[in-house]
Amino acid sequence: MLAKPGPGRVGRLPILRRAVGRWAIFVCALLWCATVPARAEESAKVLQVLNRLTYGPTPGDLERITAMGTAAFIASQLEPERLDEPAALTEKLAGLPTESMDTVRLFREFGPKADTDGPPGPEAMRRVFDQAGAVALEAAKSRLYRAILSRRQLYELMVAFWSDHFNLGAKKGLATLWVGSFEHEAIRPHAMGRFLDLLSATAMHPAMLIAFGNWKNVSPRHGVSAPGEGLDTSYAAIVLNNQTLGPGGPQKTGDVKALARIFTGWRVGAARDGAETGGFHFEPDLHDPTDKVLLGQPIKGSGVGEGAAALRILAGHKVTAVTISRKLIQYFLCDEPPPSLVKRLAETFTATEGDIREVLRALFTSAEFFDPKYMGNRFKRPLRQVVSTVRALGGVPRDTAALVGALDGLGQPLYEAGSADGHPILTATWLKPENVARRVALAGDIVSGRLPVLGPKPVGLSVQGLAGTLGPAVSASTRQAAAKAPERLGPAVLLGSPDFMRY
Amino acid sequence: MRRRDMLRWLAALGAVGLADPGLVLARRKASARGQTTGREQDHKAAAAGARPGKRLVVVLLQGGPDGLSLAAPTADPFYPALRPTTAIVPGKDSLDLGGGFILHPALAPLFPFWKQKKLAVIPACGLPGVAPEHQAALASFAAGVPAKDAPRKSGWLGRLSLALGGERAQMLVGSLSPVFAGAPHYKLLAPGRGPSLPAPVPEDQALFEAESRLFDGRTALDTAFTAGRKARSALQSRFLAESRESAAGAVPAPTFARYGERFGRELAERRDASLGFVAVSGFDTHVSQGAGQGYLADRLCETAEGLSGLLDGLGKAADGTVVVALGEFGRRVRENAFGGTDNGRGGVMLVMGGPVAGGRVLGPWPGLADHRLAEGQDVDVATDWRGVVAEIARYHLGLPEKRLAEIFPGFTPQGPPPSVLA
Repeated sequence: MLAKPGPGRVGRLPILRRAVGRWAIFVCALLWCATVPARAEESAKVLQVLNRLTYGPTPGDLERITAMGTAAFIASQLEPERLDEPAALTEKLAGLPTESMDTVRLFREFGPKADTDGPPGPEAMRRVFDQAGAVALEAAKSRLYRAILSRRQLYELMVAFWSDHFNLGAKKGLATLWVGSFEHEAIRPHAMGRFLDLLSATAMHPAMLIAFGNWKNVSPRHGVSAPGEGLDTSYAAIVLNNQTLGPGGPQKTGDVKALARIFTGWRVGAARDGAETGGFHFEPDLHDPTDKVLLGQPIKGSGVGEGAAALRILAGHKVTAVTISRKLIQYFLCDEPPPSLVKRLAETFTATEGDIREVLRALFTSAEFFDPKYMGNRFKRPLRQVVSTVRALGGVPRDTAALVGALDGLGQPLYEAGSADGHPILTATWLKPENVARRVALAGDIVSGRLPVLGPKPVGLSVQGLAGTLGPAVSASTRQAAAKAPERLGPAVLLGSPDFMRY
Repeated sequence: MRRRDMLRWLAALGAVGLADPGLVLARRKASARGQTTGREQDHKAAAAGARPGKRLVVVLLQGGPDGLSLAAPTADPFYPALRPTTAIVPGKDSLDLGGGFILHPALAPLFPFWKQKKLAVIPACGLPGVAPEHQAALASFAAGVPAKDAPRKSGWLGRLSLALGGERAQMLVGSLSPVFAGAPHYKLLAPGRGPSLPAPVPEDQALFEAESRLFDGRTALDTAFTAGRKARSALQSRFLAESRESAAGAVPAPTFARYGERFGRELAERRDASLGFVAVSGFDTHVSQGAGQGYLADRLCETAEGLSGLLDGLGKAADGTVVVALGEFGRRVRENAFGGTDNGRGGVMLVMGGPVAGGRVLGPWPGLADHRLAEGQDVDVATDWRGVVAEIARYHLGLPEKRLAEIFPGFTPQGPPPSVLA
């Protein structure tokens, strides 16, 4: 049917077609090569976003976020209320009955029972502490389940951040019973909300009132008080020096005392009226009614409202904005925050009246966030090391009790930081020889099943699968070393490698 | 004059001999294999003598076995968090003891004794005030008092043997120990050649070797790894050396597995022996202890075989024999960085035999909450084993009550000991 093409113009067509074809292929190849650095840059950004906004990649994360784009992922993590929790997480949490109990209920069920004859005896108190310890352990287990399984990864990272920032310290006494409920009631609702709300909620929570002795900070109006109770400045000092202005701020001794006097009469007890909830109770007879001056600002003696006014001053203070912004950068980006970024975040903090979500948005959309000098060279703190290991392997942990113990061994026991600042935030603090060696041992224990978080004999772990999950996070030489190792060791070589100890 | 003096001198010597036979017999040392000749006359004068057919065998689990693995408190919520890689998990191989405890699956040869109610388990058991260090603890164990208060050169089992006296004052031993120093007679039944203790194998040598090739740069992380690995190896070697040293003088557990029956048969044949002692080694598990399976499990299995063999070898004599097994201490509540456990305080005591009211966990158990632990680290001693042994000596062996103070000088029971006898 087709006429044979004769010589002449028609005969040049196939040659022309071939030339055009080759030229097209050449141009396509050139264009493709041009996109390689852009794609590498994009994949580095995807990894940075995964590493900084989550506890670490799980199988499929790299592909998913590459598809949706880093901007969309950041936006979605900044709105955790829109993300559903996986059914596996809900199921695991259902198996920890005390993790959802509120402060008052925990006290009624596990606290000391008031005998009609008087205060509970030593053996009864010992039993209370037995139960308090068990409840605190459930709280630690639940926090680990959430860190590993939750889709709201940024939110979980923020809960951990605030839990350290508003830490209950070492000698908690009865407050051990409430470490979990404190986090649920005072921290979780505001972790990405307003800083002032966080500050107020923690200040009025029974756990905080007991942990730093503010419950016995009293100024008896009628001159009668229980032995050992008087003006106690410990909590006021913590608020000023640790939680708001920070060390080296403008606060003076007079301010600490003024704030302590403002906080007098803040007690733990049954609610006397509808406004008091959750175990907080204000006792006017034990409150100092005089006028105070805090950081040069007058506060009229008006009862419990003085506390609200004081906290508003502190939360809105410019130095607080700088302290919190600096700490957030240290948490998410680097040990030495660039001053210009601190300034910009502090301005956002002040402009939005302490809206944490907006400060985080400013951080994650800043140029510094994707600066290559902040990619892949930070040493993981123990909590991140443990959680990222389990996340990388995928699957649902059977029980996180052994991980709680492993964290203890790595020096970051949950809810037992032992200081008002929580666990050290600077990653360099954790880079100790014993710690590094212990992480390698941990990788071996988890992969072999000696540490039974994924079961006594985990199946389906492969170097290839892990390498696919972690992508550019592990270098080619690490992948090769893992592939060369005996099969049962390969995944452990990856998870104990220097690449996996950094993010 | 001379003859009178000589007679007076002989009478004095005789009187001294009657009053304290130890002075006269002090230079006697029984030969290792041969029979010792008894001086029955001296002993008849010393005490009323043990009841016929009633025996006590003490098995020292040298090195200090991990009580929390022997009788694992699996119902305690803190247990799996304190023991990430060494927690025993209840399953079809383990035995539920009640009270939240399970018996280690490797102790399966002892399960029938539990079911027949001839085995009692006492957790949190030990000698109060003993430091978690082998030499001091073994000395305290032998003396029956905390080491710093131990003035005597005799051991409590030797004192018991002396107090029982009579025709049944013989002791059969499987290893030499200061615990029966001062015993007038003993026969050593040498274990002979048998399998020795294997060395524990640290689990992660190959992994560290592979990682060392990745941490080969000059960054702070690489330096930290190299230093950490070196420190780890050094500590591991020290631990392994300590385990070897603490096993000295005892029968290795793999040998004890077969030896127990020999010992039982020999003890049954000796009508004049009412006490037995043997030390078994292999429990100082600082490195790679393992959980349901592993190094400790293997040693527990061998020990259980030996103990059940001992009772089998006794035959009918088992009806009148009480066997107690315990270590010089237990082990620390939190496991260490090597998948093992370090020296601790309270451990587990097993009491077996015909006269035992078994099938129960005895004594107070304070639980594993932090504030209940000794120095926040160890199981505190809730039951003093001297009380248990004193009860056995009095009601089973027939030692008069006023002589109990000789066995454990300075021991004042804090409360009634758990009753192990039927």
